[in-house]
Amino acid sequence: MELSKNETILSVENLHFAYSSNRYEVLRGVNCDIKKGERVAILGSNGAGKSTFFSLITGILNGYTGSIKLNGQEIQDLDRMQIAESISFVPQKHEPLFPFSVKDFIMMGRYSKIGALGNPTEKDTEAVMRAAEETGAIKYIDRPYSELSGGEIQLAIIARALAQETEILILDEPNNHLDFKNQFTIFNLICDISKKRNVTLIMSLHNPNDVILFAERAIVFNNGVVAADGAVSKILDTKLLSEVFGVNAVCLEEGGYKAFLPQSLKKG
Amino acid sequence: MKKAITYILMIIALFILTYFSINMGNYKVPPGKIVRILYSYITGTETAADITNYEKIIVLDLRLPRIIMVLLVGAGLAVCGAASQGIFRNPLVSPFILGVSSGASLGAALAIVFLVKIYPHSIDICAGIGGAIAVAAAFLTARKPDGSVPRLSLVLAGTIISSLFGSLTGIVKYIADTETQLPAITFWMMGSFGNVGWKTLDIFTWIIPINIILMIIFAWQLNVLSLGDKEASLLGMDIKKWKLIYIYFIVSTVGICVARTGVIGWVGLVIPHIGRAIVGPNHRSLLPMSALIGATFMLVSDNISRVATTGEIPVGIITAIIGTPFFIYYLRKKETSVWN
Repeated sequence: MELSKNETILSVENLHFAYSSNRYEVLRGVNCDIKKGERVAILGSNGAGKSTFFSLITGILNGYTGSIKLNGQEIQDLDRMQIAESISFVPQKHEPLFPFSVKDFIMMGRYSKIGALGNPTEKDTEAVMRAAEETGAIKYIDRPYSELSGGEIQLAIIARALAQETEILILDEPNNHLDFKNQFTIFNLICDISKKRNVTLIMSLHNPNDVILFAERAIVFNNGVVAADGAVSKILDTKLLSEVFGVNAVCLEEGGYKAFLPQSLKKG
Repeated sequence: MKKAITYILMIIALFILTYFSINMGNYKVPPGKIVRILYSYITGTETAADITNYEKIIVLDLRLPRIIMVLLVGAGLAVCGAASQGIFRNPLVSPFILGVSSGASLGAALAIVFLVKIYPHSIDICAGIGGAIAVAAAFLTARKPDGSVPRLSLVLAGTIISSLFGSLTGIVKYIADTETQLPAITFWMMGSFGNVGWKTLDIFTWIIPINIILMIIFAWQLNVLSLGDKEASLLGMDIKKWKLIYIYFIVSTVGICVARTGVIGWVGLVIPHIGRAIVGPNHRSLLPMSALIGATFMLVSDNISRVATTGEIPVGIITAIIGTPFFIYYLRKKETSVWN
């Protein structure tokens, strides 16, 4: 069943969560609805609860109160396979242990489709090759991925997530460890794919300028609650940056573009 | 294609080696006669007059069952080593490093002293249970509250548990009867195929090849498991289920190997590394290759143990002498990438 744009795909209501080891609540009543095909940036200072939020909406962490609904179904009631059919995830970093070839590595993205024996069908191989072509990982597809540079590994991980062919793609700081060009390459790539296939992007970002360039909507976390949520052009301003990050910034505008430059730390 | 040729060459080499292993020993049976003895055994026909009954007994009742057991144990320990390195995401572990051998030794020693008179199979059962308890203890010792298991901690935990179980075995040896029980425990712990006959190859032993085949069939799961718990889950894997399945395969295979032939170390640790060097890390190729190399390695070691002296050196000593220098070499070569 294909959802048309504007239909809610992920709905979070009054979400509370505390790690059992301490009583402090990391998330204290988060509400947001994310729609099909939206490109959403999650912003917030370190420790604001972004990673916890990701772990909860991917079903890695359980024991929350409130509700997280994926296509109308509570995430706690879904098994790993059902979640993996809808959500793919690009981790912040991946440490290669065994030197799998890039092709074998991307193929693991097909886990939810390939069957228990891992015999790839033509469809699986096609999906892997398409993801490798789109990301450019095709250039080193037969090399062991432990020999790749940080940027190349990141592209291979994104290729693995694309091979999963899900309607939601979550990326945890996708531009981490990447040089200027590779950051741009990766953002362009995932935005293109989101537009082409109506894939929902949820990405945690640190740099407000990346948010302006690549996201439509920003959800800003502060102290475990959503401090601001809306179209990037409307909500992202110097006042918000000062409130959430404690940084005084200036906003430069030229030729229809906007950029923030940090100036000083907020006192107090 | 290159991989297929490697496999075929390995299989041919193993066949030739198996054949000469039947020939080797204190009494050399001429190679031409071996074929005819085996042929008549398989087809159930009478052998020709020039083959003595003595030769038939040596080939069929002594060497054949022993060599089958050697191949099964070698393949089983190597595949279990490769699988445990995959599920624990740790190239420094093998079932023995995790304490299976020390746990199984304690179980076997207890059985030899207290139970074997009552129930002859108790050594097998107690060795298996002891091995499983030791692995569980090592794993739980190394596991941090957040569920992660650091690589070095797991190796150290295995060492600690081995040392504890070793001391407990020492107590059992201390109270054992020095005429009969103590030598039995000592020889059992050194590992040997010396007592293998058709009786050893009972229904439990055939669990080894069945487990090997199942581990190879589902080897894809090891690839995904080796990415780590979180990534494997996000790709859709039920990690608890698959870890339990593989731990069952490993503990039952190693348990039976140890129960039948004692502690034969280093195969599970070293062979997977050689396998990875030849066919790469994909467990779908690594497991079958490890099985072939493990069987070959064990056969060579057992031949040395049979032929080197007029008596018999326990094969565990041979595998340790060959295995330890290799592991030292590996550690020094891969120092930075593995320990950190």
